[in-house]
Amino acid sequence: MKYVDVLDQVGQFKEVKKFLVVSNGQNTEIETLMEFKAPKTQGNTLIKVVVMPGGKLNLKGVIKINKGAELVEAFLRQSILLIGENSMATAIPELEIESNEVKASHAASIGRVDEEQLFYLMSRGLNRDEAVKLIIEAFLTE
Amino acid sequence: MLQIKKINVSVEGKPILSDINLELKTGEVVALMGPNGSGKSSLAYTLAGHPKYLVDKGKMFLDEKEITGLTPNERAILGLFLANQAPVAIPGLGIKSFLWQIYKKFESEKRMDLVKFRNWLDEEADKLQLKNGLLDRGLNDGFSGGERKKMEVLQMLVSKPKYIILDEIDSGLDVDALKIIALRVKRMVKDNKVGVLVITHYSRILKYLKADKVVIIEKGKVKEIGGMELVEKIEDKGFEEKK
Amino acid sequence: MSRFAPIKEENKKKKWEKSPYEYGFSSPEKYVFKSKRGLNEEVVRMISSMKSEDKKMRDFRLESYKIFLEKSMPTWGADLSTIDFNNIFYYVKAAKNEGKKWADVPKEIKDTYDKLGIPEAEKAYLGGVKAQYESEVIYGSLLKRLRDKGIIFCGMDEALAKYPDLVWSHFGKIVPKGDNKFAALNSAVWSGGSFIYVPKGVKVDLPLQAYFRINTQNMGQFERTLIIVDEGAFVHYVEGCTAPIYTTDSLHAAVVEIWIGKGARCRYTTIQNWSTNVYNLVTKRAWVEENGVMEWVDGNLGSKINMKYPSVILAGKGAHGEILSVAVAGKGQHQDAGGKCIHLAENTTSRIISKSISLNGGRSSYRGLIQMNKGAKNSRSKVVCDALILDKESRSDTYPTNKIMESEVTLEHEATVSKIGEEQLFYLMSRGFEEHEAEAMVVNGFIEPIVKELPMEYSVELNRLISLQMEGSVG
Repeated sequence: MKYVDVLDQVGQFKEVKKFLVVSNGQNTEIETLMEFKAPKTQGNTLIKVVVMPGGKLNLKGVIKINKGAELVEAFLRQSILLIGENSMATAIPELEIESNEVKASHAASIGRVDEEQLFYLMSRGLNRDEAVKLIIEAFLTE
Repeated sequence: MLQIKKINVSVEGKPILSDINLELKTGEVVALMGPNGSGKSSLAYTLAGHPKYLVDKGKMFLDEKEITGLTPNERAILGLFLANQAPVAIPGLGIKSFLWQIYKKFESEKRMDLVKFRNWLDEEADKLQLKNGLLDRGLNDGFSGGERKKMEVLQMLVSKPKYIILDEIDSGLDVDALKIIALRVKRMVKDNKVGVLVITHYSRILKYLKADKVVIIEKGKVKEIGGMELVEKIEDKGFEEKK
Repeated sequence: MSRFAPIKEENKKKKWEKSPYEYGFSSPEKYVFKSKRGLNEEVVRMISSMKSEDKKMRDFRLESYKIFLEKSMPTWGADLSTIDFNNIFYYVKAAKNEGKKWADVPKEIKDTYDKLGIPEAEKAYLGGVKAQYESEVIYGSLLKRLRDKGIIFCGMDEALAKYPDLVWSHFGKIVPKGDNKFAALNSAVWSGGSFIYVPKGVKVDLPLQAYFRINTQNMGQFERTLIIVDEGAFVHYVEGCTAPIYTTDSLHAAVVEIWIGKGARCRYTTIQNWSTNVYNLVTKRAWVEENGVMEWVDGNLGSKINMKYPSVILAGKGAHGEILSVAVAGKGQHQDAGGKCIHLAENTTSRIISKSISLNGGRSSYRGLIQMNKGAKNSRSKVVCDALILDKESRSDTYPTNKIMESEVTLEHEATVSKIGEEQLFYLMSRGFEEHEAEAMVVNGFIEPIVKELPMEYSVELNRLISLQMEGSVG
């Protein structure tokens, strides 16, 4: 899966949000590219993926700001939740910036289900599977 | 004397101040008041030489010297000090060495040595009730609003300016902090004949720092000039009456 | 063009330019021995025989040379297309006084030394006028103190001859000869470099510096360094310096291997400021056993092209790795730097902080890898890379790879790219500082988290060097 967004008009604003689940045994490759060609543009990319046991994810995200694209604001966030045994992910958030009148940042996080959150939900009567399911749902909603 | 002669100022093509005339003498306190968006802070930035604020018409003078085209540092060297409303943080910039550098710029004769200077700094910081250890941090890094305002005052004490602009120094300060700062500035007016432009839309600070003149500004224009009685009127009726 | 009021020509000292290091020696170089240009098997054999090495090292070199020929150039990273392997001297054994005169050292370099306040004795050494740092009087007693504790600190050539078993226990194992093309090259033609062995439980209380080794050729092209820190021991090694090093060598391919035993700790600090004709391609890697700690503090200022990614392999449980990197890319420079942390065991942690600056058309790239293998349960990593681009001509890139093959872990990565904030500049200028002074203050504040980890003399020099760059008065 490849998602390409180009901002080539002055003042353009784009927001890309993708929430996905990589199922058991699935092998998924996702690539996003947001390229800024015009000045005064703004772009946000948010990718959230849950990788189920045995699933494999390759996530690449590129923010490219060309020369002459001034007063650009660009942000990329990749959040990956790894569930169970044998789930794997590679996250590659890249930045290529050739203009200096910019604010560009990215963040990537890969982690597991928070034990504290699990405990909290289970203490409210849910079993482990139900609790994990709820946490995954919350993760994919925000 | 600090003089503003009929200036028109715009920001990114948009006019924000028109035909402003203002005079501030040494040893004088002038209060500049007005509702939000009236142009008070814009005037402060214009005086200090902020690049976004362009003087389209008119001139400004500091002790007879024209400052309209000067850079911010040139104005500072001439004796102008802007105490910001929301001072920025510069992480990693050690406060003590920063203040020492400022000191060296402004004090050429009778200079304290580094050790004496640091001791003096600690004393003044104490008087301003700045927490211990704050001075070891980066400039305003993680500081509360009140702490940043106090840092502005500390810098003032180091560079000993002739004219001070206090841009809404009272916002975000608790009563005790406000009193400390106001009295400190009052002392500078009395001892060093510093001229102070107090920008505010509350009258609180003026309880401790009485103004010799009160200027009301609205929608980028001077509406009224008077004495402390204007302050009482505003307290009673707010700014809306002043149309 | 200054944004602050009408430009005054006399105030406009903003441009930073490093002039090309044009030089010519008035007197011929005097060398005891110098190989022909270019590399072939004969040159490799000759290097080994000049050093009187045994068959084992000679074979190691020859095998490495074969691998070097087979391996292709990396397809990523900086542009290495202009390296001409046939136009380089691979081995030079200098005479005591190399014949370079102080008068021949470029003026800009001499000016920098003056402005940085470098003492006379060091100036000559740094300028390449003296081949050795004549420090016997000062450092002689220090070296004796170290020896008394059982610490070995000598040149790599000497170590191989005196302590072969100790050297071979790790030599070529942490960075194998087939690791990459330039590691293979170094493995074939290495010369010089340091060897340090710290016995169990011994903590070396002062930083060991490269120029303590008074009888070995320093700052060589193909240095090979090996540091072995036995269980519970500690050492801090410092190499390089902030002042620009003037050298005619255009290709530097060093290898640094570090082995850290259980509960031991090593900090390796480098400040590299090679002249801008140099390609600096370095492979640096540490292998850390249980509860060991490795800290790389990496300053990248010079060279035309610098490719360097200090790595930590967290092999034992509870091991910790840190990479603190600062890179400044000026005109015509490409700094391609970063770090790699590979988590093999449980409860391992890593942290990478990278601060880079590009100005005057320079390009600064962060390249990093965090890998957590299956089984590295409960491991954590945090990466922060911030970049400042100071003008329209410059460029900044971030190429991080996060490869996670274990679910019970946490990884956080953040990066920001921006210019110096106008509000920060205005603020400082309104306190009386000129624009270039204000810029330098913000830039120095930006790199402060790394600079504060440097030994004091370095941090002072580094700040001053950057201020000089921003003022444009150097070069």
